[in-house]
Amino acid sequence: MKRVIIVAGVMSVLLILDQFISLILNPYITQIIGLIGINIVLVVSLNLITGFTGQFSLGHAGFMAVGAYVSASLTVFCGDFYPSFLNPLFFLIFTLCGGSCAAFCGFLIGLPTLRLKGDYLAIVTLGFGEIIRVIILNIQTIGGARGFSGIPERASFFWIYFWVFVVLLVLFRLIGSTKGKAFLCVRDDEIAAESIGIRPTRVKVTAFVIGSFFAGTGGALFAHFNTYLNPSSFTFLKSVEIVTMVVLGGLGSLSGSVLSALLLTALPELLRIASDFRMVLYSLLLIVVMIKRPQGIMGMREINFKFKMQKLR
Amino acid sequence: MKTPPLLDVHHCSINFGGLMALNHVSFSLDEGELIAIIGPNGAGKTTLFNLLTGVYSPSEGSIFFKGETIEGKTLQAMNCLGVARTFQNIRLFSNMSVADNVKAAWYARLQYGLGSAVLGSKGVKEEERIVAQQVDDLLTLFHLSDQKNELAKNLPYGEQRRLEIVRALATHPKLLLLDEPAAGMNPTEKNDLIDLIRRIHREYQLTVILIEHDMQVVMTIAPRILVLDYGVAIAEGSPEEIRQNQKVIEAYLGEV
Repeated sequence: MKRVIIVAGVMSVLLILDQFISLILNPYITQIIGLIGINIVLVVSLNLITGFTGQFSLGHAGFMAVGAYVSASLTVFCGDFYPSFLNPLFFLIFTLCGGSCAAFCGFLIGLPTLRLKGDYLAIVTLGFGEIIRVIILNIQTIGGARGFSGIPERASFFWIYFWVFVVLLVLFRLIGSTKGKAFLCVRDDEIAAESIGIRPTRVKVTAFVIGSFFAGTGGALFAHFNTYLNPSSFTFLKSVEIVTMVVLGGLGSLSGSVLSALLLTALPELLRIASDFRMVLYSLLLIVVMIKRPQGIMGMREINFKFKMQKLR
Repeated sequence: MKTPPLLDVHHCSINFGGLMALNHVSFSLDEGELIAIIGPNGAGKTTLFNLLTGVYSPSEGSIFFKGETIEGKTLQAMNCLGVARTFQNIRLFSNMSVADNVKAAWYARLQYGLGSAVLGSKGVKEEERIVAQQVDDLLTLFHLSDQKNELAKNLPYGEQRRLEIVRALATHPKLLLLDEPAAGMNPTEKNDLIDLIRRIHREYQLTVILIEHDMQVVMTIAPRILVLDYGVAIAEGSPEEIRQNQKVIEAYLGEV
């Protein structure tokens, strides 16, 4: 019962904010807040794979692209089959579809490749991301190289932060439970994990499926936020960007991921005052943070972890 | 009729390329027994453990656990059958807390799935409570409860060894394999370890196989000793018999 009240409370706060945010803040800032939310979803989901399970993946942009293109094409091509007042409902359904397709890809890539470790896995996932991008580049019905335009704008503040809430809730619960400790075990020592009855491959595939599901929903949000998709947004540079955020926030810290998604999305905008030196300063700041805190902003800890765990249980 | 032995190793051999790591080793173990395996470095002791836990499969011969062959079983499957082990070089989950290290051992026996963990249903909460309680009890029993929230990598060496044994115990095994638990320990830690092994052997009615180089430990706790040398079982018997055995003395000190 307490849980229902909390969830209802969060939802209503989000709905109210959703109504007022465009009135109070200018479109530029609203845009950045939206992007921050999308990045939180992407970074937190990659943290499950890379931070908690210890599998270095460079294919997150690929999973994101699957979710983005699947949900966008569903919205565009099925738009005429339902009345427009059902838009939010169908947006939710299509986001889930996008996420599920991405999760399926995560499953497919997971099965054969998760025997690989470290750099080898990174190269395979990188290859996977590129394959997805090249396939999309060559499908003309979804725009190909011209990009996919005319996607209705559905990802409002509410939907973006609804998914932020969901991904955080799911991961807090997973990692907090005894069953979820298996992810950490596989990261720390696979052989020891096996010796206490954990199947590492299974755990890794699970992490990939859950992680890529949320990458897919992140992609779906991105598609309906930008209203335009282009394959070049999903190059491996996008994956690297997400990896950077995960590492900077702290491998294995959810609050660190949230913090670094917020920082690294807002920073390039804040640095606009430095005009030409903007990206130089940005890179410099990254270097300084990594020298000063090689374990990431939060390391493996969480902000006020106990409090949050109690609330979410 | 006599009950079958808990563990029956039957003419087991394994070779890596041209190297015969184990050569027709046979022994059997009844429930509740404690046996030590000794031998010079490279005698095949750890290889034998790896055979017993499904890490390798024997090139020849067979192994029966509870009367059934363990052919094709993996390390994970062997643990679910009731064989737990520790490692020569400590393998803890170093970035997890002491309590979580032990808690993780419940993984295979949890009733709920990941889905209900996310939804947080009533059964999950209840089960989590029971597991947490049992972890607490176990930690208290083995004097680790003060360090409960410490990261495993920050524990002193002796306590890391102890934690690894507790983690293995937490999977509720029938057979416990300890790979050089006294390695690198000081005399006080060794005495604690002897007490610990005696205690788990007695209180949990466990069958224990112990690999150890430290003769003080071996001679004190093991009623039966198996000696390996170059993959061959050269002697088996009580500490007294082993001490007098000519072959064993030769293996350790060289021929006269």
